Formats: sequence, structure tokens, C-alpha cells
Amino acid sequence: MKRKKLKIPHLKDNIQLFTLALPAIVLLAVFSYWPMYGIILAFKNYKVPLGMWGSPWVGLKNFLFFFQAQDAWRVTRNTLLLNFLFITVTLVCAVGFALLMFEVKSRTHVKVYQTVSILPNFLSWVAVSYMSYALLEPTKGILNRVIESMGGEGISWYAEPEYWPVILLIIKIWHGVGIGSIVYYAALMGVDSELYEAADIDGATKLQKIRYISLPCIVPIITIRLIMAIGKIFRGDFGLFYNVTRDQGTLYPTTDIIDTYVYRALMNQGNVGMSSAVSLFQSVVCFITLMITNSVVKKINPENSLF
Amino acid sequence: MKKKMIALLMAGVMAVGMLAGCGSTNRSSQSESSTKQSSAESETKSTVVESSTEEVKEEPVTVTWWMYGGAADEHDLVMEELNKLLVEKINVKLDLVMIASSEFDEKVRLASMAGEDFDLVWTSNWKNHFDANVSRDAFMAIEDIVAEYGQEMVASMPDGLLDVGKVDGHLYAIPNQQILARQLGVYVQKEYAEKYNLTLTHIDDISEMYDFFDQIVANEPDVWPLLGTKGMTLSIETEKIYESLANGYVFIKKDDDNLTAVPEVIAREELFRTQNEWYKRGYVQPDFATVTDTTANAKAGKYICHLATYKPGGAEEVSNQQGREYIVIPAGEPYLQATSGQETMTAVNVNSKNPEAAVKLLNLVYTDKEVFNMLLSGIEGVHYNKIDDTHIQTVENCKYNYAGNAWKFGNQFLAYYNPQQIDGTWEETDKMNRESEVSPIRGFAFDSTNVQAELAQLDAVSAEFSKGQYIAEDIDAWMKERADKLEKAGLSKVVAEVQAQLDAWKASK
Repeated sequence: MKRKKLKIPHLKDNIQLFTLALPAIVLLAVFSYWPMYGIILAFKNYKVPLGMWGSPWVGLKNFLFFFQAQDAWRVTRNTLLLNFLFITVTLVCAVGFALLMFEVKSRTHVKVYQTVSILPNFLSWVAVSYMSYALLEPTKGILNRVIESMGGEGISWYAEPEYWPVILLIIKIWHGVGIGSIVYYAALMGVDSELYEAADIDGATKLQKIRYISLPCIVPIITIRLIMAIGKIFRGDFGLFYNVTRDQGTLYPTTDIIDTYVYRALMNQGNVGMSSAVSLFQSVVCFITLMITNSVVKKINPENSLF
Repeated sequence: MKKKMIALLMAGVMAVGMLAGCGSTNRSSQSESSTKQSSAESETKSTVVESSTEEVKEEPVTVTWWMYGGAADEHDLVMEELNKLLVEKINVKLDLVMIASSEFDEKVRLASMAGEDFDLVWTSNWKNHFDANVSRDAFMAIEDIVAEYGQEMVASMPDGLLDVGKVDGHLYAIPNQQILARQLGVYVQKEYAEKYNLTLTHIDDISEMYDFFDQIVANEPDVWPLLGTKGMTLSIETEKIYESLANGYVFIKKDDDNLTAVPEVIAREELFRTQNEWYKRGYVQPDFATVTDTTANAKAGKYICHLATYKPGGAEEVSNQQGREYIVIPAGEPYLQATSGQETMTAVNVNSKNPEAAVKLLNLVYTDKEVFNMLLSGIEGVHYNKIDDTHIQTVENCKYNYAGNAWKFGNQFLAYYNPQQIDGTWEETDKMNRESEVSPIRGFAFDSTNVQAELAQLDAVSAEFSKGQYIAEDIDAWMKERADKLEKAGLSKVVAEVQAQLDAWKASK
């Protein structure tokens, strides 16, 4: 949102603002642009004594390994579909949770709910994987015990790939909904309370207030978060997919994503060129999806687009 | 105006990028921030150490040695003491850097790519991969330096051991000495072996133990006879006949002088059938294929037997680890594989500034009992007490003990025995190393440069099928599906590459 200020053309007039932005620009340059020269590794056969620039060029050879792989389509599909699922459902849940919180009037209660819901976000995926294992373990797991005590037959969860998109979705939401809703909650707090008072006088119901005041007010922030999320749609959450599935081969049909595939394929060889190549490919696709989403948003409502 | 602004910004950013790029050619100057920090740390450390002992004859050179493993509490204390000894003997100082196992590969790779100048580094064919390092030219060719400064350690090696550290005639790593000959063994809980009167002292085939397994299945409902193996590396069936190459995707027959490369899907067929049979007969836990963590069950003693490599003193080692008594039944015969010895080696970093001093130091640690044992067990009277010339007892609450790392530091056979170890183990191991049957392709090392993409895809595919044989109702169908996928991933190309290199190797002999 702040970027828009850049459109004001007079550098001299806004020298203070630019000075304020300078640290951020420097940080961006150092941490995001500077390392970018590493991209050339994707086109090189890296040799330590020759360094990054001196190593021989190999053209697109490093890219072949991924594109020729028989599972390339499967992992790409999994990455896209699962991320799409995560983005949409997390968004709905986070906004919904924020709206609920907004309706809670007691400050103490809000604090308690928020703390509890944010807590999972601070657990590492490794810890989460053991928690889910305790639930899903085929013989002693809690879930199967419950199913069996109700007369059903336990399911060997780690052998049935079809359940996993849902399992991962539930875990992802549990893990991220609290932290995700904070931004929306903050945005709601910023809505002018006169609007609600006016609506009360007009006799609007709670749902109507949500529908006509709350939601429209946070649409810009929703859109921006959505664009950012879609910009990362080609990168999976490695920690989630690798740890929580416990890297079970039987689950690959629905849980293998680009990041886990590359990790598995290159772990033994440590080939820097090939891993850079896949990473570059992901970045380029992410860049393209980001641009497309942004331009679509711009077409619909120029106010809400990112740039 | 707006465009100009953006253009200006872009130009600025690009200029920064260019600077960054050029910086990297100055090697040690610019690099990933994380590694920069660690190098700075080690630099300050070494300068501090150097300045404190200025009065010694010539300024001693400090050799930095990167090793994986946890650092002991009194690491610095022992290093100080050890360095006095080292300066006295060869006027070299050691800065031993212990890096946690889980971080080792990543850290070494980043540091080496950033051009850091550490000197010695541990490498192997299973961690901090030797091949990958050599293909990046990350190690220095040290045949000349070793010829001058490393004669004693070379002389202590059995024939052909040094060759496993060579690629294309250049020596890139010094193999350590531990158990080299490979033989499998079945480790059995003593309690059950006695209860069911298991008297076998050697087996050639796992089926010889099926009677014992059946008795356990019939009489012991709470335990399972066998812990399956996750990878496919340990198998009496395959190892009886074959030796593996190229990360286990290609095999050759042990007695085949023509050196015909056999794809793994053929070599492992028998193994998969056997393991599937275990599943069907109830020798392994029924959900073994999907259980991801067997440590709790193993701790509780739920698995009566497991397969592992056999070595002298092995049963005692396993008994100590598991906290219950085990016996071991060796299977097959000891065999020296083409690259046996690559399991633990020490290499010199290509950016090392003191390769001579590094090799000198390695040579001393490798051959000098006093230095080696101080490195392993610390200071006498502080960390351990001597029982006699070859036996020690560590003190209680010992704050320095690297004895478990002996096999990573040089020659394991020089280590003192602790009370849990059996006398004569080292001599017996050394004898086994020198007398076992030797592979027809001893010294041949597969160069994976041309099939890196295929190997990556094979790794990805075979992981998908890992342990599937323990759940397959129709093993033939499962094997066919697996074989098809491996074939598509480029198995036959790898086989052809191995065959070509074997033929060339044979022709050069």
C-alpha cells in the first residue's frame, strides 16, 4: 500500500519519506537482490576452486533432470492443487475467525482466544509430526482407538494416500489460522465505529453489518494477502509435507510436492546446479502467477492491486 | 519522471548485485552470511591461540579439522593440552571443529562453496559424500604431499586400502582404518536364543533360522522374530551373490570375471521375495511397511533378531547399546568390496593454505598412540585412568570422551580398550580386513558425472517403493510396477554407463 506513494513524482518534495524508506530498500537489496547472482549456478557445473563465475557453463542441462522426470507432472499437480486448497480454506477460516473475534466484546476473552489459536504456529513441523503420529499411528494411535471403540475398523493412515489432502489441510489450518486472522482482526479494529453506530440506528442485523460494513472494509487487505499467497503457490511448505507425512513412500501419490521430490532426489548427490535449477524454475513460475493475479485484480478493481 | 525513478532504482540495485558478484571471486571475502560468521569465529580463535605461545621456536601452523559429532564440554581444555604435545612433536596446532551430525553436510558444502580455508574434513560414501565433493573439485589432490609427509600412515594400511581414496589416479582422501571387510550377521537376543535352543554358529541363508522364527511366532505373542530393514542394503540373499555399485542400482556377481553389470531389479528379486515371505509368515510386525519409528519397540525388546554388519566384538557393542544381551550369528563370508574403506575418510580442502601441515598432522594422529588416545579420551587422571598399557577406565561424569569417534579419526586399532570391549578385538578385526575374500573390482570407483540426472530420479523413485515389499499381497505385481518405474527413471542408462566404465577399467589393468 505504501508503494503507491512512490507514484508522487517529486523526489525533492518527499525526501523525508524516501529517507524513511531507505533502510527497507537497503535491506531488500542486501537480502533479496544481492543473493540473486546465485541464479547463474543453475546454468553451471559448479567447481569449488573455480568459484561461481569461473565454473563452466552447461546451458540448460541442469534443468533436464526435473523436466524429464516421470513424476514431474504429479509433483507439480500436487503442489498447485494442495496450495490452492490451503490458500482458499485458510483465507476463509482466518477471515471468519477474525470476524468472530471482532464480535467478542470482552478484551480478556479475545486475548485468551487469540493466544490459544496462535500457539500452534510456534510449534515446529517436527513437533507437529510427532503429535499427528500419536493421533494416526495404526495400532496405538488415538484416532484408531476411538474408531475401534465405536465398533469400526482402524485405518492404516500412513498407507492410504487418499485421506492425506484432508489431513494436511486440517493440520495446516490448525497451525496457521490464528496467526493469519491477526491481520484481519487488526484491520477490523481500524474500521470507523460510526459506521456500525449508523447501522445500529438503521436497525441492521449482525449479519448485515458483517456483509455490508466489515467485509467491504477488509477486502483490500484480503486481496493483498491473497496475491502474496498466490505468488508462492509453486513453493510447498517443505516442513509440513516432509515431516508430517513422515516421508512415507506410500503417500507420495497425493503428498509428494516439488520441494520434497527435489530434496529426495538430490539429497545423496548434493548437486548444487540441479537444485538451483529447480528453485529458479519455481521462482520464475511464482513470479508469473504473481503478475497474472495482480493484473487480474487490477482489471477488476485497480484500488486493490498490489502495484 | 516516474519511469526515471524506477530506472534509477533498478540501476542501483543492479550495481549492488554486480559488486556482490565480483566479491565472490575474491574467495574468502564475500560469501553467505552464515558461513562468514563462522569463519570469522574460527579466525579469532586461532589468532588467540597463536599469540599465547609466541616464544616457541618457529610459529606453529594451525590446522583446522572439521569433524561431525557433538562437542564435549571440556573440548577446549583438552585441545590446549593436546596442542602442547603437537607443537612439541611436529610444531603444528590442531583446531578441531565438531559439527552436529544433522548440520554437517550442509555446513561443509556451504563453507566449501564459499571458499573457506579449513584444512581437513571428514568424508565418506554416505555422509558428506566423497563423490559429490570430488565432482565439485572440493578436495585437493594430495598424492605428492602424502608421499612426503604421510609415509607412516600409508605403511600401516592393508593392501589396496589407499586406492579407495583415489579418483582418476589422484589421491583425494585418506581412508581411516576400522572394520573394512563386509559380512552380515544376525543379532539375536540371548534370552530367546537360549529358551529355544538356537545353536547355529554360522548361516549361509536366512531360511536356516526359519524354525527358530516359527517357534517365536507360535509361542511369543508380544514380540516379533525380526526387525525388517528399511533400506534394501542389508540382505543375506543379495550379498551372497552380488556386490553393489552406483548407489546400489547396479550389481556385479562376486565370481564374475567378465564383470557384467546387472540391474538392481534382477539382483534384488530374491531379496524382495524373501522379505515378502517374512511379512506373510508373520516374522515382521504386520504394519512394518507403514510404521515410521521402530525405536520405541526396539528399546522395549520387541524385536528378537535384527540384521546388521558383523564384526569382532559386535555382539558386545550391540548389547551395551540396547541394554540387554545379544549374541551374533555371522552370515556368509567376509568380503572386501570394491570401495570398502570409503565409509570413513579424511580429505584436504582444496582451499587449504597449509596442506603439508594438515597431512603431517593427520599422519601423526593416524600413527601415534599417545596423540590419538589423548584426542579420543582426553587427559589421563582427569578424564580417564589407565588400568594397564592398553586398557583404560573413564572417570565418572567424564566431560570429554570422543572414543566413540575413534573410527572417524584415523586408525581405530590404536585406541585403548575400555572395560566393555573384548580384548583382541582390534587385532581380530585387522586380521579379518587383511584375510577376507577380495572383490574382483577392488579399487574401481564409479564416476557418476554422466548419469547424475538419472541417479537423482532413481533416488526419488526407489524411496517411493521403500518397504513396499512388506505389504504387497502380490509381490510379482509390485516388483513389476517398481521395475517399470525405475526403468523409466533411467535405470538401463546407468547400467550401461557402469558397464562402459567397468570395461574401460578392465582394459586398463
